[in-house]
Amino acid sequence: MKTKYIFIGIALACVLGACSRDEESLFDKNASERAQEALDNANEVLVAPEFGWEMIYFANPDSKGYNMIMKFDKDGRVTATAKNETTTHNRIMTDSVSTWLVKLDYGPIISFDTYNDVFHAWADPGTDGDGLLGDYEFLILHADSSYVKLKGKKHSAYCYLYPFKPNSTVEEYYTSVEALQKRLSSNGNIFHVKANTEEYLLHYDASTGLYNLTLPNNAPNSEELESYPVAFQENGIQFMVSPRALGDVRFDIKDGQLVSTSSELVTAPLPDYFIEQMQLAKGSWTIDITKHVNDSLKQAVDSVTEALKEAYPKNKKKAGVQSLRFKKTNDVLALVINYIGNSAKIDIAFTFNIQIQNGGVKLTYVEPTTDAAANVLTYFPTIAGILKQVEGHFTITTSDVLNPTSGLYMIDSSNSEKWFDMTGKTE
Amino acid sequence: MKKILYIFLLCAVALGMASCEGDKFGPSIFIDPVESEDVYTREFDLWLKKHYTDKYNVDFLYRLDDNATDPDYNVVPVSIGKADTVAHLALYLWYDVYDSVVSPTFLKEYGPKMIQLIGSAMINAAQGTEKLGYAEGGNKITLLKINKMETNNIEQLNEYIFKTMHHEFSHILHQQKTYPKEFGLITPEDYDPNRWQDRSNQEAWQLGYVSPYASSQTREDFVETIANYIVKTDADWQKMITTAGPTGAAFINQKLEMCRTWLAEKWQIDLEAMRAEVQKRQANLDWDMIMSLGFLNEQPENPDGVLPPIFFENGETN
Repeated sequence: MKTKYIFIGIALACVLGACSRDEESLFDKNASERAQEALDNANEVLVAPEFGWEMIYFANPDSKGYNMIMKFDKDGRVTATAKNETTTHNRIMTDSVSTWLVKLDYGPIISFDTYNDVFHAWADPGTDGDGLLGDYEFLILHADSSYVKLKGKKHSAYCYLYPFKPNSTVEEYYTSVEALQKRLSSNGNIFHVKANTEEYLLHYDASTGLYNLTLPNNAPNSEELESYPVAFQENGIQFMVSPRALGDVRFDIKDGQLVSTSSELVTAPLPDYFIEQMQLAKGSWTIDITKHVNDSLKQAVDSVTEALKEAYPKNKKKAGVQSLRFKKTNDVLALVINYIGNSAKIDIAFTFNIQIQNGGVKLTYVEPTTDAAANVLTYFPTIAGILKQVEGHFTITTSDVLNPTSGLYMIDSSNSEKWFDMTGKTE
Repeated sequence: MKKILYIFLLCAVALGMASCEGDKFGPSIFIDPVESEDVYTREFDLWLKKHYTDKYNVDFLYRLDDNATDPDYNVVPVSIGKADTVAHLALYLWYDVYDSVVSPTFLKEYGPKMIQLIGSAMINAAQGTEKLGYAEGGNKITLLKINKMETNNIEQLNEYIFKTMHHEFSHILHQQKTYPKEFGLITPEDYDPNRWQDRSNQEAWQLGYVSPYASSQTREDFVETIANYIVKTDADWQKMITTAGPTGAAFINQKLEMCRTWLAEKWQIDLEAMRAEVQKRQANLDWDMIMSLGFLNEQPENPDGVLPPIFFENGETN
């Protein structure tokens, strides 16, 4: 009999203990309530902006970012607008007949569950089964009135949504985005990033739409460490994930610099930028010899042109110096003189030693880069006059720190009459 | 004493169980078209409920759930416009045919319980193949590549949709009543599940298969024979038989006869009557009539041919 009471006692303890209210509650509400709250919140947030959202869409972890405008309606319709070279042939394209749904899976999910010509172009498998490796279902990682962060359920890229500015039309929006993209990226933009004691370079590769992280040793074979997908906005840039110690993913232009809430992207000092542009971005610097050029350099160029016309009388009209540009050629930094003699344009390179010195850059002519260059120098000794005009220690200024390729102004430190201007581009 | 003890025990257990109560559930995430007045697709959803769910006990799934797809493949959802068109066409060229030729309750009883539409194909780039449809567990048919469907191209409609539906439904039927084992003995040596895609139509026909895919394995051969016979025009079928040559044609005819007998004996389906009805409807697609029950009422390009109305608002056939 006693055993029976003991058994009953244990049974009661088990039953009551199983649902003990003494257990410390980690949350105010139970799981289903919290899940429902997350769904309700996501629904409310997504439909709230009157003019929709600017969506920075990274289709997959290796994809550059694309700009879309998404408008979510309460009735489950979504309107997507995009303009890019990959899916819309650079035309503004809008599609409104498709649906969206917030539902629960591993967490709150947004599903674009019927086909939208604009949005699903990235997820379509195409003919190879992969297409652009985009998603149509996304985990909602964050949703409030300031921004929404999504993660592709299958291909795991992050997407960011910001309320679309009410004073901006779609056309104005894409015009602004394209202008900033051109300003920041078209000529190989480079930033310096400090992470603890290490310093890295971020440079933009227009062919991939990625910023590549490298070591800042000015070495031509600097090993690439990582790549970061990026998108351009009206007044800033959006990384898919934060590069190293930057800590933030979005940087806006403020006082001529790109800043975030907690850090800033430091543009390279101009002497460094002059060299890194040639080494990292495979760029070149073209000296203005036609319009804004100092007299001495102009005379030097003219004298070579005269010599070429005399040497090639049959092509007297066209013979002459066409351009001067600094670039990396045959693994050395050189001044490349492009000229026309008999008929075709010819590049002749002259090696320069380029050193960062006293806040400026010291350019020293070393030798002709090739035997052909040596021969040309023998035939046309006035070329030495050009080389002399770009030798010396120069201080460097620019009108746009965020895009120095728009114009570098080189002034000899000891002779302000000796100067030349350059614009940069990637080749 | 014993009784009191048990009552006490019962109360304690009830108390213990009740103490677990506390979950309050919000509205279901699943959309009920009847209750969802402010949902954009409500009209279409109600139409599907009436013409598919209520009539055939089938859920017509056009809003894609990633969990319902094969994770090995990248796919995209179907567009609402294409889903609308397929929903109408499937009634006209499939459901209503069975209603007319077999019985009005046949598909409600044996038909798939779910039809899922997916916008893209499932592409296996390594093999150079694309899947246009598949059947699961005798309950669900998934139709793929619907976004590429051209509504004025009956050959393509057959290839993407109706041949696939007949193919997959035949799978469902033989999963319930197995096909004759002798079928696999007609051309047993040339089945090749790994390299069937390397065969041309002509090669497959000459080996005694109605399509390259039919030559992959016996069960695919069986359902391909049925599906191709139903949707191919007389001219196309005869062209295949002629190209197949005497040996290939004999094999194909032998297989067809086996299919015909199996359908008649096991399912009371007259394959010839079924084919005749499908061919008549295919040859005279009346888009105005087909889409008259439409949700979006998107008219296809260049609809041609006129056929007297087959079904009306109440779903009855003439």
